[in-house]
Amino acid sequence: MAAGKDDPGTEQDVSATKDEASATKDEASAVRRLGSSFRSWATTYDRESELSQARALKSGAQSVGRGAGKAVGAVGGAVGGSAAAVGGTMLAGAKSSAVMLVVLGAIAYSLRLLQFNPAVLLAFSIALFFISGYAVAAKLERERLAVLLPMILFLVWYWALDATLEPTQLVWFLAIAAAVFALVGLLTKGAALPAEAIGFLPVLILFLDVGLLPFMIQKLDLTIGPVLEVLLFLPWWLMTGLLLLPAQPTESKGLNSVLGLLKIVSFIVLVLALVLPGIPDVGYETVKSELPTFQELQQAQTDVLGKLPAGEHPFIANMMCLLGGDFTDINGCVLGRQRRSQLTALCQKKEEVKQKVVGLNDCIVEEQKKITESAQTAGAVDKNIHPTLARLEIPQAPLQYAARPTYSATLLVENPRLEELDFLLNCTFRKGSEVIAGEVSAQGDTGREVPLLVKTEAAQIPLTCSPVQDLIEKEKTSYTMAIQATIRKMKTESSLERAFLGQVGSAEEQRIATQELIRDRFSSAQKVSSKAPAEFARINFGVGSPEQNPIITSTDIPRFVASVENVAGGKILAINSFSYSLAERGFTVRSGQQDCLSGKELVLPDDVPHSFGLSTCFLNLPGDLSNFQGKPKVETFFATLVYDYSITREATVQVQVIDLG
Amino acid sequence: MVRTVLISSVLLMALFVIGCGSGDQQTLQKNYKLGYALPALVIDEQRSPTVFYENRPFSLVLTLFNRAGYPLQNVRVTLANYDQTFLSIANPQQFFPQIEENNAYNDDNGGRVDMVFTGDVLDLHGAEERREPYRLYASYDSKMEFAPTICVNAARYDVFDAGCQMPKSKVSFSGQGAPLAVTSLEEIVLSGDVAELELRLRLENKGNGDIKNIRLGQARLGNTPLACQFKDVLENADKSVSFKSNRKDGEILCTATLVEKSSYQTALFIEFFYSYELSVARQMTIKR
Repeated sequence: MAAGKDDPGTEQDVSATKDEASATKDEASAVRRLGSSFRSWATTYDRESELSQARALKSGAQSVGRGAGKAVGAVGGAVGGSAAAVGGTMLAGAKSSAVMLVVLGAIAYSLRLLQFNPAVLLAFSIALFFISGYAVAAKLERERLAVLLPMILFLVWYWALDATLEPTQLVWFLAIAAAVFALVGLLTKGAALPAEAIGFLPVLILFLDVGLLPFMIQKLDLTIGPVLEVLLFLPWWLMTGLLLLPAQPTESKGLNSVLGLLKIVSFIVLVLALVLPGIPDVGYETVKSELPTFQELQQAQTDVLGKLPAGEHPFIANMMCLLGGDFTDINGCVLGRQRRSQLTALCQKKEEVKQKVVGLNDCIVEEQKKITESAQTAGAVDKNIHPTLARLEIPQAPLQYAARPTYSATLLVENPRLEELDFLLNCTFRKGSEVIAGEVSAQGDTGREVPLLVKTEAAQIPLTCSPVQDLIEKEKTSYTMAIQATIRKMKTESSLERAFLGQVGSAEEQRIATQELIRDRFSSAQKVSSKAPAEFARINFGVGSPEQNPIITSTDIPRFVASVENVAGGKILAINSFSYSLAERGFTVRSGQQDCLSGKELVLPDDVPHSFGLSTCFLNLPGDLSNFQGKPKVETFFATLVYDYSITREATVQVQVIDLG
Repeated sequence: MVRTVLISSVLLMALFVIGCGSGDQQTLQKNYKLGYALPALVIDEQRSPTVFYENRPFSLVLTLFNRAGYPLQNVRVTLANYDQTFLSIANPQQFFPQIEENNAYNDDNGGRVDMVFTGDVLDLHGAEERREPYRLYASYDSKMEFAPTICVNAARYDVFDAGCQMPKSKVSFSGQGAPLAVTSLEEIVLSGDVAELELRLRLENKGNGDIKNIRLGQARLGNTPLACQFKDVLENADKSVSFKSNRKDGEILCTATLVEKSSYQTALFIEFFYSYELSVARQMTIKR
């Protein structure tokens, strides 16, 4: 596969100088040696790369060699060659299939950011899966073909065997896999083992790319913090390509340093991605595999993306802050950028801004003012309380020919706290601006709105949805079917821990007591915030001076701030009531909203924001939490939110009504 | 006959002398007022589980050992920093007027008091489990004595006078049987019309706990009272002193007028009273 031999143009140029010819020849023979075991697999790309490089060398030699004459041709060729190599550094780098992975990975990532068709993205991922396999193999000295073994075995297990964990099947499969691994290892006298092992890397990246991380977050109920936000949607294939680039991918030292730095960053991010979500304590209690399908993974990614507020992508925000050199407060910078971009997105949607009645900047300032005026506070997930979960699943439906087609769906409920969950189901069909009401059937009831009571720990409720009127389309027509499940009077309790110093002696004693309390009980931001199970919505609240300070002294006038946060992908329809245990514990309102600690019903606007303020006031401490001697007192307070919450699932269904009459 | 009686008497006396001179001699000579003897709170792990269940009783059994060479007074052991919403303790503070010092009549752990904290584990409010940190505090009053024999020489020049020789630099000490310790002593003679001896002592907290306050008791050089004052410390309202924030040491300066011109050895005795508090952080798991 010598470049000069295959390309007549290259052959002609190689004759320009002897040195250059021999260099190209060496290069070509090296590539020939390297590519020998993969010739039948993917030679075209390497050949193209070789040719590109030879052309670069040629043009360099021509530019200098032409003017300098034959005597200095050799020197000129060398100089020109390096000039060309510097100028065309990426061409030199393109020799490696890793560059292809970098480029295609970047394209795939851009498509993902643009929320391209998931099916196309999945196909792209599979293609990159094989390219990365090839790139990984290219790094090896021997028995590269063995890289394919784990990749193919994984695909067989995942698709052909439906990711089975059924013991008998799994044992058989693992036994066969082990035998194949051993056989290959034996035939190659162990030389194929490194290749077999490294073949698991593309498998891992494929999972990460299609959304394993969001799935783990959903499974493990991890809070999406700023670090995880960045890790969630990273250009995994691009980073893999960077990691697989050779040590000196280009002849430019500067570019090599940048690529080296990116390599290190990619490596750290990869390690972080594996370590941060923690080790899942998911037990395989059922025989059916609990591993996600690709559709589930992609759905998880979409769901998690949906939970993130609109605005600048966290990865981009982080990069911009890093590039901006704001190293001292990256978090603040990212939050600031995202807040600004969220407000911009919000204002751009407003009619008055669209019609230029109000300027975009004025709108942003106004919205900013609204947010700052309604104080809010942060909350965290209480992992010790199992969350109530509900989701709708709509299987892909084939084209239907009936005038009133019926589509099935399942409402999946996890009710670990055994509460009485009162659901109301309904559905609609939408085509453009036309909306057709639907009729839901579930557990023997049919109607436009079907109530459903769930008291068990887990439930899978099959339901159907069909339009209430005949559809008339004779041509194949797409409708968006939306099924909505509203949980009425859902109750979520949040808790908040605070320590009271009372009449603790001297300032030094207070300092020591505070230090010990922070070390023992409030060592992280999560422990300072109020906590609630990772379900639908919650009250976030804080008491202290300021409200994030968990230590309250007897002379403090603590501020109380409470807000509601929608933590799932659904919608808060109504707040039936809310209450706090502080009032019954003896706290009284000192100033601010006088009804601050009492619960009430709240009327919500149509466009309920992701989070909104509930109460703000200053409090008086009860006597027994301010006038006491001795060691500090620690107590937990509760806030209860009773609300209506809806979850909606949409699916595209196709109808073509055939008139049988 | 007389000879036999005499020999028997001598042998018998020798036996008594030998008998009295050996055996417990080492024990009797052990100085318990040496080293940095630290008090210790030891939890009886067998009788104090780390996992409790909601709406069930709670108990914690522990012992406070006094390994110091001085008795502990006004001992208070407190179970604190637990969340009162989930744990109710009947007797969170226990008081003991005194704990005997470490001496020849108790084991190597010194004097001890045993105690038990009891209470109830309350409702978890729907949580599956909860990790509940808490802290055990032990506070007490005690004393420490610094009593070395030192050489004093009021001579203006370092002339050998057949007496003793004053150390030319700081002398280190490795504890006086308490967490509060004098760790170095520097003797300086300030010559003038009347020679004055200045003793500079470094005082350190060698324990893991906090020394809340220190007061000076008797301070004598032989029979001469010493005038002492603390340096580099915080003065409290009750005239006691404390170490500065984030510091575990301070200095004390004692002076005496020297009358004797020639060198001589004499006993230095300085007594410190202090309040001490140590704490142990623990954690329990409350399950449903």
